[in-house]
Amino acid sequence: MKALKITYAGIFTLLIILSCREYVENDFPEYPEMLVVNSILIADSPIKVHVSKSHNMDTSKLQYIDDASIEIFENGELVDQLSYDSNGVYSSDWIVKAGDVYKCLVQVPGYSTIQCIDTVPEHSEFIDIQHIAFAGKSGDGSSYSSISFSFPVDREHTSFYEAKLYVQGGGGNQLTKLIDPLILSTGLPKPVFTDELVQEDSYTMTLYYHNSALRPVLLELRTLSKGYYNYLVSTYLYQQGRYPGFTGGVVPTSQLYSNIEGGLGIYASYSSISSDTIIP
Amino acid sequence: MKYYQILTFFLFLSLFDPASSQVSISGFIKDTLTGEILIGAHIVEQGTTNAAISDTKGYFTIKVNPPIALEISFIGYAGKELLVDQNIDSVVHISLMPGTEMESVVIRARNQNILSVTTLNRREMYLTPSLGATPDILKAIQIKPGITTQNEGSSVLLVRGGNPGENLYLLDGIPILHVNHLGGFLSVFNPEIINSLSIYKDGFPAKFGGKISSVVDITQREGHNSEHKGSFSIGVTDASLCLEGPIGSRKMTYIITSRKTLIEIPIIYLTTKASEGYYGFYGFHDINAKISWRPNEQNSIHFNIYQGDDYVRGINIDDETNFLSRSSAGNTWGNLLVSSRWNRNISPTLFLTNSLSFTQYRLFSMEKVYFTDYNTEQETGTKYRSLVQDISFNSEWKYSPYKKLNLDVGMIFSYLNYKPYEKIDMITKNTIEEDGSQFIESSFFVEGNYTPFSFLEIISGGRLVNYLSTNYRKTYLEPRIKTNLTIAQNLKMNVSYMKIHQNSHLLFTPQAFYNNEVFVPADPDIPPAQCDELATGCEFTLLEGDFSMGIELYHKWMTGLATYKEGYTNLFQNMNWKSMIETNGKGESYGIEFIAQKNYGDLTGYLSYSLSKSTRNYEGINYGRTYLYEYDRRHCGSVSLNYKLSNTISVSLTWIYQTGLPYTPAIGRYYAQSIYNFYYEALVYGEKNSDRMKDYHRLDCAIMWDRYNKKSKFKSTWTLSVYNLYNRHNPYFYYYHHDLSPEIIPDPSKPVSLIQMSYFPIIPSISYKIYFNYNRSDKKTTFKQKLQNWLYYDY
Repeated sequence: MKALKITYAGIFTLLIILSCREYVENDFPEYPEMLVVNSILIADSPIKVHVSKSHNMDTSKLQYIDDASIEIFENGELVDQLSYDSNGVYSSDWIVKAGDVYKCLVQVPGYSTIQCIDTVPEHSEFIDIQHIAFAGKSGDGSSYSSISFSFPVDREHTSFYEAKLYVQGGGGNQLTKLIDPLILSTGLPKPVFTDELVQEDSYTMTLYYHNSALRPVLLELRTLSKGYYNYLVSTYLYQQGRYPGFTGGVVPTSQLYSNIEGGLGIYASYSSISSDTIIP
Repeated sequence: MKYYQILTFFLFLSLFDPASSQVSISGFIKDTLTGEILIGAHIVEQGTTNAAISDTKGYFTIKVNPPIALEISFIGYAGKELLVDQNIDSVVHISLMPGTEMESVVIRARNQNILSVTTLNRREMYLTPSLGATPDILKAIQIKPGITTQNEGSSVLLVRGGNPGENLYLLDGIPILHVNHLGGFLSVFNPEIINSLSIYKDGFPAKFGGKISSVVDITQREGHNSEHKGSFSIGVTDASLCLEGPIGSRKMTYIITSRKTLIEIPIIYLTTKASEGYYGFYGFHDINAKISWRPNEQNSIHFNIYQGDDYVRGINIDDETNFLSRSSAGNTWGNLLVSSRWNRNISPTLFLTNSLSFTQYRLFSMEKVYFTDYNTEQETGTKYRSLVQDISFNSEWKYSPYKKLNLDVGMIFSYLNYKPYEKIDMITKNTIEEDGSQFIESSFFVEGNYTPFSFLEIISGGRLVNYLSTNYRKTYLEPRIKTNLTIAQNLKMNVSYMKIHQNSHLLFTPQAFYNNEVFVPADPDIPPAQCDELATGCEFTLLEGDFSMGIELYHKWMTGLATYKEGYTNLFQNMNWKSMIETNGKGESYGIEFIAQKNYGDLTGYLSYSLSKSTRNYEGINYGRTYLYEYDRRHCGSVSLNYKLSNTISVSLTWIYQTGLPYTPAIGRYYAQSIYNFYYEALVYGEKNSDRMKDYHRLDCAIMWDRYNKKSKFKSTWTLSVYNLYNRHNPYFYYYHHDLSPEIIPDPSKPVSLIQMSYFPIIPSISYKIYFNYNRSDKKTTFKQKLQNWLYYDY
C-alpha cells in the first residue's frame, strides 16, 4: 500500500509542477460573534469546559473567553462553579457520575446565557472477551489478530458506542478489516456504532487489528450520549471535506455537529469500561 | 372536440395519399475512395423540400414521385445527382468523391438539426485544438452549447445539468460504460477509428433509452476496401497505431487501432527519486478492432472488439542478502466490449439491424506480496472489485409503408450483472466475499415518422421498459414526441417531449483524478432515476446553407437521483455500501442555447452561447434545501474558428468562457473540541454551493501542417497546439487555509484566506503523425488518385 501511496505522490508531484496556488480576493461575510462552548463529560473524571467565541473568516486570531461564569448542575442541583485555568479552559474538581444529568450554564457579559444539558450514559459491561493472536493475513501479507467481545443490549432503547483498542507502543490506527454490520451501518471506517439493529439481548463484535509483534493490548468500550455519537460521525465527515484531496477530488464539505442552542460547540458525554491488559 | 375529430380525419387521409404513385428509394452513401459509409449525407428531391439524411449505418430511405432527380450532398464531398424515372422501388449504393467545395449542388431545405442533436465529424474533431495536440472526440464536442465538462482538461461530458453517468455512450450502437482515460483527461475513443459523433440532448428517438441526460452515438470507421494502409502518431501523452485494409476481396475489411501511454517512465523516475526501493507508474492502453463484411448489396456484417484499461501501480522490492520481498498494490479500471452486427436491406422499404454484444466495466484495487528467505516462499494477495456486465441483443426494423410514414420498431434485451463489491483471494482466485445482483432489462420501442404535410413532420412513439430482478420489478412506458415545422424553406421549428428512466446510478467524487466511480443498480432501496424533458427550438439557414443559426429552450425535471452522502467518496471494502448513498433526489434544469455557424469555405466555425440553471434536492443534503448543482454554469459561450491557409496548412482558434462552478463557502470559524481532547479551528459552512468560483475562460490554438514525402510516398502531419494561450489561471477548486503553503496544519492565530488551485497554465504541445501504405499498391494509381488519397485520406 505504501508503494501505491508513493505512486500517487509521483502523480501528485507532476500535478504540483503544473499547478499554481493563489489567494482569491473575497469579501468574507460578517459572521455573528457567538459563544462557543465545548465540553465532553467523561464519567469518573473532573469537568472541563472550553469557552471561546466565533469569528469572521478574516479575523486575525480566534479568541478565548476568560471572563465567563460557568455553573454546573447535577440532576438539577448546583454542584460547582468552574474556575478559569488558561486558554479558554475552565475546570472543576467535581467528578462526573454515569447516569446523572448535567446542566451547564455559561454566562458571559454582553452575550445571552448558554444552557446545555446532557445525561452521562451508564457504561456497558464485557460479557466475554476472546483474543486470537493470528486471525488471518491481510492483502500485503502481514498477519493480524482479532479480539471479540460481547456486551449486553437493552432493546428498549438505543445505545451508542465507540470501541477503542490500545496496542502497547502501537501508535496510529491499527484496526483493519472493519466488517462488523453495526460498524458498517454507521458507515465510518472506525468502530463507532449503535445497537439499533440488534435483536438479541447481547451482541458480539469482532475487531481485527495489526499486531505482528504480538504486543499487549487493551480494549475500551465507550458508551456515548447521542450528542457525542453525532459529534464523532460529523467530525470524521467534516475532516474529509475540510481540505481537498488533490488527487482524490474535492469531497463535499460537511458541517460539524453542534448542539449548543444560541451558540456553537458540543456538550456531550460518555462513560467507558476497559478490559484487562491482554498479552497475546 | 369536433375540431380534433376533423383534424384526425384529415391526418388519417393524408397518410394514404392515394393520388400519389410514389416509389421508395433506399440505400447507402459511401466514400468513393475508401468505401467508408457517410453519416449525415443529405438526399433531397430536386425542387422540393422532400429530403432524407443517411443514418449511422450510412442508410437512407426516401419516397418520391418519378420522374424526379435526387441531389445527394455531404460536407467536404462533391455532390451528385441521381435520376429516378421508373416506378420501381429501388436500393441504390451511392459513392461520393471527396471535393473541396460543393459546387454542383445547392443545398435546399437543409434538414440539419444543429441544436437538439449536435454532430461532429472527423474533420471537425481534428481541427479542434486540444491539450497534448492529440485530437479527442469528447473534448471537441464540449464547446458546443448545452455541453460542458466536469473540470478543466477533462473529457467527461455533462449535458444540460446531468451528471457524467447519465450519458448513454454508444460505440457503433453498442453501449460502453466508462469513457475516460487518465482521470478524464482523454476519452477512451481512439480518434483514428472515429467516423462521427452525434449527441442527442432532447427528443431522443424511441430506440434510445436507459440514460436520462443524453445519447452520445459514436460511429467507427470501416477499413479501407482496396488498400492496406496505416498511420502512427506520437504526442505528449500517448502513441497510437492504426492499420486497415481489405481482407481477401473488397467485400471484407479490417481496421485495428491501438494506443499506449508514454508517461510511465517520468512517473517511475519521480517515484524512485521519492523513495528508494519503491517505484510506481500510471498508464493506459486501448485496442479497437473492427471487421466489416459485405457479402452482397443486401447484407453487411460487422464485428467489433474494444479493450481498454487504466492502471496505477506501486511496487516495492526489498532484496537483501537473506531474503527477497516484493510487494505491489494498484488500481485498474476499464472496459471490454465485444459485439457483432448484421444489417440487412430486405427490400427498398424494409431495413433490418440485429446486434449482439457483451460489455463490461470493472474497477479493482489489489495488494500482492511475495516473500522468500530462500528456504520458504510465501505469496498472498487480495483484490477488491466492482463490476458491471451487460449482455444485450438488439433488433431494429425500419419500415416505410407509405410515402408519409416511416416506422422504426424494435426490441432490446439486456442481461445486467452488477457487483458493486467483491473480495477475491488473488492466489487461489476464490471469491471471499461479494455482493451483487442480476437484472434483465427488456425494451420494446415503436416510433413513427409521419409527414402529413410538406411543412409538418411528426415523430412520435414510445418505449416500454421492463426491469426485472429477483427482488425488484419495474415496468414503465416512456412516451416520445417531436414535431418539426417548416415555416419557410430556410426556417424550421421543433417541439419535443420525452420521458426516460435510468436503472443504474453513477456515484462519483467531483474533481477526482483517479477513478472511484461506481455504478449501482436500482432496487427497492435505490429507485431508478426518471427525467421528463420539454424542448423547443428554431433553426434557420442563410446564403444557401453557408450559415446556419439555431436557438433552443429546454426544461428538465429529474427524480430518483442518487449520490454519495456528504463526506463519502467510495464504497470500497464496505458490504453495507447502501448506507453511504443518498437516494430519492430531485433535480431541475432549464436553459436557452444559441449557436451560429459558418459551414463552408476556407473559414469555418461557430459562435455558441447558453444560459442555464440546474439544481438538486436531497433530504439528507443541505438540510433538505434545494441547492445549485455542482456543475451549474450559468453562462457558457465559445467561439471556434478554423481557417485553411493553404492545402497543407490549417489554423484553429477556440475561445471558451464559462461562469465559475459553485462551491460551498465558509462563513465563520470557531474553536471545536477534538476527539483527542485539544481545541482546533473549525469552519462554519454556509448554504451548499451558494458561492461561485472565478469565471473560467481560455484560448487554445493549433496549427496543422500536412507534408508529403515524394520518395517514401508517406504523408505526415505535424500538429502544434497551445492550450490556454494567455495563461489564464482558471480555478480547479477552492479551499480555505492560512497561507499558500501546501502544509495543511491549521493555525488559529492567523486569519483564513480563500485559496485557488489551478492546474493548467499555458501548455504548448506537439504531435506527429505519419500515414503509410504498406502494400505499395499506389504505384499503379494515377496522379489524380494519389493526390486525392493524400488530400482526403484522413478526413
